[in-house]
Amino acid sequence: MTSPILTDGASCPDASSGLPVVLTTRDGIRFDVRCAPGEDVLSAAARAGYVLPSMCQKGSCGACYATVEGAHELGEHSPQALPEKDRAAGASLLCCTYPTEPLQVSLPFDGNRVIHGSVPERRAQVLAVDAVSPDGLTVRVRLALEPDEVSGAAVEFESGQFVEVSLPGQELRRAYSLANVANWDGEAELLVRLQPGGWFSGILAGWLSDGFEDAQVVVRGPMGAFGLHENGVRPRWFVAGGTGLAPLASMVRRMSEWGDPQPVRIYLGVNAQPELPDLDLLPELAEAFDTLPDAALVPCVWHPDGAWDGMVGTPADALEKDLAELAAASGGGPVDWPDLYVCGPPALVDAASRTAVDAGVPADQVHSERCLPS
Amino acid sequence: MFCFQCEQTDRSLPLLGCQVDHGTCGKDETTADLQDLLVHVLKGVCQYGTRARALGAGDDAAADFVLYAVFTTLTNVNFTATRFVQLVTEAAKVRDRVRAGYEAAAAAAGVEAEQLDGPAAFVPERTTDAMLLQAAEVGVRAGVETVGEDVVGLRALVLYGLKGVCAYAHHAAVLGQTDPVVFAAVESAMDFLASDPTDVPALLERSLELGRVNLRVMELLDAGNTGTFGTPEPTAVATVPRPGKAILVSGHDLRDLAAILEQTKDLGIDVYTHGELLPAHGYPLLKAYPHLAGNYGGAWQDQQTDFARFPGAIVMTSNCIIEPQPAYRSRIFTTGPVGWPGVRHIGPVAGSSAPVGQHSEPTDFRLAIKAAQALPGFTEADAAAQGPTLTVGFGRGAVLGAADTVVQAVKDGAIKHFFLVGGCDGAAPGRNYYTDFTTATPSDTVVMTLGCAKFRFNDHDFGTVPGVDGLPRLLDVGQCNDSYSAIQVAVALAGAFGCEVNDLPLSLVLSWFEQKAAAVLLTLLALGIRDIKLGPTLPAFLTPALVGVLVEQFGIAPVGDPAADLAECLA
Repeated sequence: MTSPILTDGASCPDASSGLPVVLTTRDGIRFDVRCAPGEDVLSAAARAGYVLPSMCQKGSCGACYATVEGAHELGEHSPQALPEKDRAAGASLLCCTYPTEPLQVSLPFDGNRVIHGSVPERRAQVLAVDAVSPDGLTVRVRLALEPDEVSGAAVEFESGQFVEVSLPGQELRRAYSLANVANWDGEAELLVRLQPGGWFSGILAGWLSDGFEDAQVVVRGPMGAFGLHENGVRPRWFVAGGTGLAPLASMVRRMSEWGDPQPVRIYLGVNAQPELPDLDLLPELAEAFDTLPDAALVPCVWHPDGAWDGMVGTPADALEKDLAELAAASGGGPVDWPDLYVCGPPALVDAASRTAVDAGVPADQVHSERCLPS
Repeated sequence: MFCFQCEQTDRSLPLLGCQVDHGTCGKDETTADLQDLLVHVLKGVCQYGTRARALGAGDDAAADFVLYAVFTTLTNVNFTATRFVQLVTEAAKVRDRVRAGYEAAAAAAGVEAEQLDGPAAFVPERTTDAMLLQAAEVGVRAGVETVGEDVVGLRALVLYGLKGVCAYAHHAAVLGQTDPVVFAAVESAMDFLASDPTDVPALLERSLELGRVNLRVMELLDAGNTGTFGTPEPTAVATVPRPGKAILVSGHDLRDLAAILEQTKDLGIDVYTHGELLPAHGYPLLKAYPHLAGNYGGAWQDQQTDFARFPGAIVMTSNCIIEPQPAYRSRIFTTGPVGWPGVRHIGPVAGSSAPVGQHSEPTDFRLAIKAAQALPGFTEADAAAQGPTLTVGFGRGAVLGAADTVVQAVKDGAIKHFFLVGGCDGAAPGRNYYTDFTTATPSDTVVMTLGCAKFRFNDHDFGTVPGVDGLPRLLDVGQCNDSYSAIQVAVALAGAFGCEVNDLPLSLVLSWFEQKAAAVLLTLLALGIRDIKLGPTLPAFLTPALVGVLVEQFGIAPVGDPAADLAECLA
């Protein structure tokens, strides 16, 4: 997930020139920006002082997905991030949307997810690097952020948001969702699946094997629009694929800390048992499960070996079965459909979202974020 | 949803009231409807409660729950839909307990228990969507096609006055001041509303009865405040912060403020008041804490700006919260009846046996303190800013302590008129009336104020009354919660001059926003006080016919042109 991250304020075209673009958030907040020739909407917004949720900024992740009215060109992008049928319905990815006439953009998040000014950066000390799955490839990283003038020692973010991590003095960055909860201890926690040949994976593997004494990183963020929707008492079901668990774990831990009463269910999917994170090694999440009034964990293994007696299949398979049971239990009456939060590889996100909508869950109750290996 | 309980209700449609998606306050449709449903179930609690009490089997704990639960439905108190689902369910359980108590008391007394219907027999559904369908049948406009707008308006006047009574009674109760007479009156009023009353004179009389009850409630609250924290005394309050870690406390709850002061003692954290907690600085036992450092910001409607700038933790203890902005959403905490979705709510100390939201144990503020310690706090540069010093503490103790001076000043002609200009502040542009009115008052007049309306003019230098040694022209009586104090000052002045309050050279110019103000207004009317000027707009729930009654019987007039109104007062 390397990306040419925006450099705020750099190479600023004349602010009064370019095509007008009106960005309107889900809660009606309006931002007016101008897009210079050859400039994408995301960059134009950042140049105007509005940092919109985004991640890869190269059309791969779908984090800057929005609905666009008006003629524009769309740059290279992944069909997983922007399926053709969505494109046909007016959706676009703002990081590769180049206006050819004035645009109206409907942003699928509230105004409070827009960062005004520049994205904050803080230096962080590595506190711990621990493997949390039997295969040793899913790693929990705990960071201690240094205090700064704006936040002091506090680490403030909405559960579901992500940060970008780099090494001091280096350009390369990787985006990871925060797995803990906003806190005043200065801590940030990440869940990382080590990828063969991955840049940060390699660094983490080194820290795991050789130690991380005095290791430091730079944390940029928080960013992102994924998060809990405070809209009543409907059950909250979380569908995670691999380390897509991280933002969902943050949400569940927050629900526990805040004393939220909604029933919770987490579907956690992996390819094989050795990839399954051990909850004993994620004690805060385990404690959240213990304190929530009605919480269940449904591990799903796609290709189990003979020893597995849990759910066989993907989380989307488990979801399909449980939603059908929920509909049947209503006896033909109104179904109390859960709010769904889905995070994982694009294929899983698409499958789970499609399963939910096909079962009858209103589309506006399905919230998702795609994560790509990095 | 339909809601017209506050001053900022939507007046853009032919039917005045918030009725689409969100209220002006930010309350969403689900929360608004669930609040209606909660009020309905609480009526059921009181249907049994009033009958049980008549048999000598009053359930004070249930009545106390009613006070708290009703308080959550006031404007700008609790916006958390999940909390209301819990409260509806809890209220039904309380009602069933009270019913059992009533039936047992009836059996013991050898009388047949009444079989009640309406809210008493209401069974809330289990899911939110089903509850919302039920709520559609019990809103404040239910039955309007049959009974007409005037009856709906009067029922609203009773309900909203009652909400104010409950809120003040809850404030008193957290300080240990309760009275079975108040519990009985609240239960009786809710039982009255449960009967879907249509008799206009009876509705009007019930409104005034609530005003009388509220006087007793305000007396209890006054006793709670002064009995716990001492009699307020004139005190200068800094508005420029000190360098260092900081907590800002807003709302009205002196007990929560005291707990925060005690729990932050010797931790190097300064505590600042905001909005209606400004008068806390006048209480001897609160100002004795050296880290009660000053007041920060203005009235409640300024909080989004004030809180975003505040570099520490923020605690909202009662009304009036508005949508926390991202800049401070992670560092604001609610307590007591207050709530906002996604904002941390902190409750009683661990191990407390107190029901959620009620008050037998002090609140544990460790989380807010931890936040304050982590956040940057004020810098030396912040402390170098300029700001006015505000003077508070002119409650009845201080004013009546100087009664001889004041009475003599009136007799000597040094003071020609008193104004009581107070109530709620708000965002409406017309509220600058109160600035224009007070700053134009002549130097031989005294302006008493209470409530957050004072923030419209309390940074103005009114000076002292010429010829009267050191008597300020602006006397801050306290919070809206201190209305009893202002009434006692008026009554004492009338006594000193051997006249009625209405005969004093005193004009009441009031500003209303929400239901506490409705209760205070009913108290003033019940006391027979006439010719009150009320603004910035009249309540939307009062129909033209009802306004006509208030004008005819009490001489209430809407505020108009400040200069003309001032001239009329002085004529």
